[in-house]
Amino acid sequence: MNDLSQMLADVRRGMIPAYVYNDEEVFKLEKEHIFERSWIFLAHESEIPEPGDYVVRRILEDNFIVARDEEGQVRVMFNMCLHRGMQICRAELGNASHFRCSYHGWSYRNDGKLVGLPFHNEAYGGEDGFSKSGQSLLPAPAVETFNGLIFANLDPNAQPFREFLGDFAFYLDFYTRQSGDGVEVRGPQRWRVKSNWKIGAENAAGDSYHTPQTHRSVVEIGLFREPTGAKRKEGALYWCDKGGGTTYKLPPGTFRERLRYVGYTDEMIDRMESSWSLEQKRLISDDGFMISAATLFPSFSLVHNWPKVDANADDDEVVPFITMRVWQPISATETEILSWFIVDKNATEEFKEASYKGYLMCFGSTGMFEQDDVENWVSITSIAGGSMARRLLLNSRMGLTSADKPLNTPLADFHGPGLAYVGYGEFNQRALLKEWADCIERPLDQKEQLAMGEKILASGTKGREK
Amino acid sequence: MAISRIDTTGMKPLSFGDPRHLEAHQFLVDESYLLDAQLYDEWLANLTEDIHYSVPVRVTTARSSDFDTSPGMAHFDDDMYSLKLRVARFATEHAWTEDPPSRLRHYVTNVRSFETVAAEELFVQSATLVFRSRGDNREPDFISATREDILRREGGSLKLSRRLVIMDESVVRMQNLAIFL
Amino acid sequence: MKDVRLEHANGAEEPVIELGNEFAEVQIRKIHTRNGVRLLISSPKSGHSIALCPLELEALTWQNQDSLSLLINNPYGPIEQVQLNE
Repeated sequence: MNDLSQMLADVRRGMIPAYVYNDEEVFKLEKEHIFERSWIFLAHESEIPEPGDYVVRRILEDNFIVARDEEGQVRVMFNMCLHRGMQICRAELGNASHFRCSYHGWSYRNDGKLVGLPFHNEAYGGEDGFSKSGQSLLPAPAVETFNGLIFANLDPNAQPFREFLGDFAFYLDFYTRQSGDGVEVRGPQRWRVKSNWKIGAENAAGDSYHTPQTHRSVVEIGLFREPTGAKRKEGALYWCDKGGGTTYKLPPGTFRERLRYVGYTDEMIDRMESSWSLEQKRLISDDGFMISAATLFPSFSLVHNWPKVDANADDDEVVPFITMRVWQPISATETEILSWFIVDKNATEEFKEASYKGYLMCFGSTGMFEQDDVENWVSITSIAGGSMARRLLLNSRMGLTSADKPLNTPLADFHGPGLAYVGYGEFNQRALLKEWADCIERPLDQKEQLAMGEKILASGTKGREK
Repeated sequence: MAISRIDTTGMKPLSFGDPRHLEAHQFLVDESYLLDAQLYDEWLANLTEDIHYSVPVRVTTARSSDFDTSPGMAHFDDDMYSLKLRVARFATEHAWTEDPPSRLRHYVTNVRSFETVAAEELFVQSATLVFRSRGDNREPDFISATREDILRREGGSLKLSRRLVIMDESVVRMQNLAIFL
Repeated sequence: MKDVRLEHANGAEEPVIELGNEFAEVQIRKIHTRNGVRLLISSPKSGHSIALCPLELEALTWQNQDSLSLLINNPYGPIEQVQLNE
């Protein structure tokens, strides 16, 4: 890493030191300053619908059991036995009322409470030697759900999730609350790419500029008619609190006509009509914008597209799909992508299947969009590791004049919260990296240690007894 | 839509000298050469119109669980229309992920053929190891998988009418699956 | 440890249901005594089995998470006379 304050200053003025995409020291800062204290998406509630259902997910190297307990409550628990530190759930998913460690047989209820400790009396002298009363698997320091999306934060003093999310919730509803019952998800597909995690997050946040070039082949084969240069620049880019995204401008029409244009059925539109606010509906009916890609800082992205899915359909008969993904960093140069398919829980089976097919054709490990994206990102990451890249500041100032003024004025009558611009611009990538710079600059708090099974002693050693 | 696996426990494969097995084996080897060379139009010609090509997402579950793939999710769940679109895309000048093309090698081994209730169809199992190298200095990627195929005799020759690919990894260690397995 | 109380009960004709997750595997089968039925639950890995009568099974339906946790508290042995951790 070059000088830290210089790096942050460069990033803030939209000149990105190329090495931030391939640098061990930068990655170490990102781990401690960003991923250990940001809200990270883990799972959707529809992945654990019934009591006892669980999935295992990670934040960096920390492995968590995300379970629905017998009372129906979602629990996020550090997947490490309190005794010798064995990983308790070794399957990726399953159903269990209790988790039993394979090492010495300690058992935990699916809400985390320690219930079974073999030979407790003989080996420990009961509660005196190991106080199991009130002990449980370490809960994730902070957990919140929104529209069924389960987020966790490793920082117990984190800003509350709703406060952090702010008015970006307005946009999240288009993807994850198309009806009162919300969405269901399939997946994730998981695959590892030799790319820095930020590149995908920035791309989804606001890179409408890449679509006509990177994804030209998808238009050429008639899979998705929209991402031409002429159409893409008519869309609005918005940034709001901790997230932002891209939109497409739709042809003239009412709320219903425009949703039909992207392929929604009338019964789905009826539900959207009753679940979205007036302002949310006016973003479509009055402003004529349809949400496409988006990123919530730091590493959670969404995509909404409407390809032609049926071989025998007319060219304007399209089916929309939604995907969400996490860019989970493995190292400075490697990212595990977890990609889910999302669909309105109340949609017909026929719609769900067609939408799923659209997802598989366009996004995910085999998606014809995503294939070309990742090829580019791997190349960027690889070439950012050398000494020449240390001398290069990448220009991420699109949409700004030399005096830092926007080329276009923000939309005055845009019905969504935040700031929106029409046309190409790297407003959102800059906003995302400004958030990144602020996080890296904010000093770290002391971390508290927790002692297992130890009574509170006069000397002040801290146990976990309540 | 999901294809279920066929349990071959107790089933007797055709003898390795059986002409039907030899023909199936030759089909898979010939196919590997087409896939290595990315001669995808010719590959499509070896599929039946009702082809179902499926690669479910593999997950780690307990031995006693009755499933080891992600509920409802696959990498590929394709029919002739989507396979043709994928192939058409590679033929454009803007499919960056395979231009420059990968250097591919599909190793096919452990081939076993079984009779089915349909006289014109064979059930064929094989193992595949796919090597993929991109660029001059990147580490190559591998995918190991088993394949469960149904080969159907159409117009005198065998064609692939169903392929279920069971990958041996849960997390795919490859930048994408812009190749066929 | 076999449940020897019903070693002469007969259930060979009954279908066996297998249930498993990451932490346990059991086989369940209806067995017939001369005058009635029980449910045989066996755990092939540990070798334990128990034959429960309908009343015992019904009693299970009255339990809550805490009392079921008590059963798990002392692995491979009966419930210890200790307070469930609260």
